Amino acid sequence: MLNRTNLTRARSLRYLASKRFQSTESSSTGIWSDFSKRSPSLKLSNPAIKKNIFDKIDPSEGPASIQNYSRRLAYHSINEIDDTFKVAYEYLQEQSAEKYQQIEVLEKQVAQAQSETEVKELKDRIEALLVEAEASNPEVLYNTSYLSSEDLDKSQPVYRQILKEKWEAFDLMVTMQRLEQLHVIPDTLPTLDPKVDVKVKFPHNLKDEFSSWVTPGEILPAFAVSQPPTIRIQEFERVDQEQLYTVVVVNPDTPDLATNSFSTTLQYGLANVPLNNVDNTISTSTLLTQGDSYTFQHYIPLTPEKNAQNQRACLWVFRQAKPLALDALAGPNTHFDIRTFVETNSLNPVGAHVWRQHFDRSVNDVRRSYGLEKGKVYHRVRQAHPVI
Amino acid sequence: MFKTIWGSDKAVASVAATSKIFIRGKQKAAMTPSTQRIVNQLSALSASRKQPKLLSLCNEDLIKNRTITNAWNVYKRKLFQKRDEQFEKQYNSIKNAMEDLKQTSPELFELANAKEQKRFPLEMRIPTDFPPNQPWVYNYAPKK
Amino acid sequence: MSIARQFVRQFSSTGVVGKPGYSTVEPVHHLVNIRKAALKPKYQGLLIPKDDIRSVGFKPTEIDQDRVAEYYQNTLKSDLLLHNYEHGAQVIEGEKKRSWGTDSPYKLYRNLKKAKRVGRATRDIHPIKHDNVPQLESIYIQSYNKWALEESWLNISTRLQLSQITNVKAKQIYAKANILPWRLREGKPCGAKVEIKGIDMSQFITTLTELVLPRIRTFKGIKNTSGDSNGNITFGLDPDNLKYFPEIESFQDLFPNLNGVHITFKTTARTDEQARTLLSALGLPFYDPN
Repeated sequence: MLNRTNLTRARSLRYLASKRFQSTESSSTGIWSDFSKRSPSLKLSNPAIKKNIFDKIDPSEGPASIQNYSRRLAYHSINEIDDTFKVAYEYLQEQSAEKYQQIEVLEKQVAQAQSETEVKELKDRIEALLVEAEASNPEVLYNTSYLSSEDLDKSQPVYRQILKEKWEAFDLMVTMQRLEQLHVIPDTLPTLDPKVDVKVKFPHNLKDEFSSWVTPGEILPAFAVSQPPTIRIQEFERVDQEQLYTVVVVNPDTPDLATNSFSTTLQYGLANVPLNNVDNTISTSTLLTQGDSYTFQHYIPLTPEKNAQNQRACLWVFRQAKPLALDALAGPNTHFDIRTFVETNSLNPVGAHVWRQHFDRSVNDVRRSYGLEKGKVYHRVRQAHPVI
Repeated sequence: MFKTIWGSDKAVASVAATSKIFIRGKQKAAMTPSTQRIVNQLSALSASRKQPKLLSLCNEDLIKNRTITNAWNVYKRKLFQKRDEQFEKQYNSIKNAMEDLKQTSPELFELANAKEQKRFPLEMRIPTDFPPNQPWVYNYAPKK
Repeated sequence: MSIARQFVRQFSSTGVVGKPGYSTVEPVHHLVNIRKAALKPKYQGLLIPKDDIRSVGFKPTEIDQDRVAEYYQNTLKSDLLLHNYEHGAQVIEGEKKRSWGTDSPYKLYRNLKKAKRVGRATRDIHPIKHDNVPQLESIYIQSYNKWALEESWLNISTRLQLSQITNVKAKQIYAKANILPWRLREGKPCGAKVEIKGIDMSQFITTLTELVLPRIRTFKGIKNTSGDSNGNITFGLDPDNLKYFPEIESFQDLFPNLNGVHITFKTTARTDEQARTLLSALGLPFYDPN
């Protein structure tokens, strides 16, 4: 059936090609093989796979993407797929070339533009066209389908767009579900309109279980979070100049015995962190070299007391409208009011993350290493009437 | 030749020939032709073993297939757009012509807009790939 | 102080104490739509769209040239646009369900009153323009087998017969009412139905108009009075006529008992007259019953 589909399409597309592409001699002259203006990151880097796609899968060798030798040899391709692919590639390339022509016109307009808003509008249109022009490029398709997101060049609008779609299809939903289930919203901030993908990991751990990216809502032992985390903030919108970010980790579950309730503690505070689409990670090396110029509250891991409830470490990421003075931000970290903090510094919350902790055997060691006092042990006190 | 504990292998062979052949399951009587027919009809209808196997393609072929599908969709979309524009043009020109007719000749306009039962002639055929040798009857007259 | 009405979370109390005795819908504090199925690993394979070759539900379309569809697009559509054009035509509004009035909350929230004269609401009739030229949507074929009411296996042949002539697996239909004189009992299988679209529909039309109908000597055409006044035309074929379908003709010994069928043409036309014009263009004759 599929072969017949291919045949029908091949017939129609070939007819089309004979009418429209009489001038094009070979695929090497098209816009998708011209890297004078386009970024080399739009190329398919593996030469064997590229050869398989653009020439033919050699039956004596099999497709390069299959690792197993015997399976590779046993592979059969679909009839007529290569010829049909060539015609389809030419056709799509022609459409893409039209988009690039429109982009050239717009770029000339950008050079002559007067106001900032006009420039931004034009640049947005160029970006949308760039996505359209590259989205169906088979090399880009391969990269986005089979390479990990770390290997993609986030300066390219098409990769950012596809990463955004992938993020919305899974990671965003997981994050928002956990933020809601664990009442991070509205316990810390009233709501969140997510704009960036926030990922957190603790690279000091040796076990893979704790050193990989943390799933939102995971319960982690104290030793696994004893060092400051690596935070990746992936922007999907275009960042023209460098954007400054504020990152805070708060614990809204600190027991407050005086009021028979809970208070919020600031566990970690960074401000004025410049990030962009490509350079998007606050890693250990960043903190070692420039940590002092960003940090207004040094990292203290959550150390829940014995028999206290699960405690949430809520990580919030804000876009800054302007640079902030670190001295003004510094203050006592207990009874921290995150809503006032956001309002006074005019911060825009764009992303969040959460992990949980409870008392475990490593808490006392962590307390000792951070010079904290010995933790309390809570007991259930049975009374005739509850303490209200 | 092996000697079995039961005796010679010739004797064993003769026992095997006379004993009943074991058939697993309940013995069923042979079906009548009409029952057999119903069973055949039912098996022709049922979906079991008719689902085609899912093709397991390699990554390269999947990319090729997606590219072909993308190109095909773009091609179809353009075709439909062009067709729709054509029909819109036709509609507008019908409308303009009627408007003209209304201005210039009201009687003809009345005739053109008269309600009637419209039927296409039965002789109008859906075209085929292999039309007859004599494709058009030039001196055709409908039956009276 | 009552414990049950505690809404403030306290350090000294457990969650159970504050729980009310009824289930509540938790409020949501964000605007992201969370599709739970998309988060389940075992559903990942089912989330692939059906037109993707990796999906288990993938079915190739456009495997053949569709003669009828092409004929409609290239020839008929412009003819029908011209035929159905009415100068200065306005939208004829259908009868709609009516409000009881707004002067009391009882009337406001009451189920709407039935439509005037006709009881059930009818649709608006828009003048034919380039974007709503009448088109054949699907063909609905159903066959009633009264013998199957007593012996349900007799229905198998009816279903197979419909599947044979349409290339689509037929669904079983069941009796809906208890009517003693007809031996009708609710839930008993009593026939088959099938709805065909696309290439199957085109194939069925060509078979019907080129091979079956011309061979029926008594066939005069579809009655000009047929139609449900919504643009859907129905006609019937007797069991004797059904054997002219080549799929049945070649295997006549397999089908000793044939059932008559009702064939309904579902069109996008809003009046029966427009639908008849369209069907006559596809080779179906019409006649006036007198």
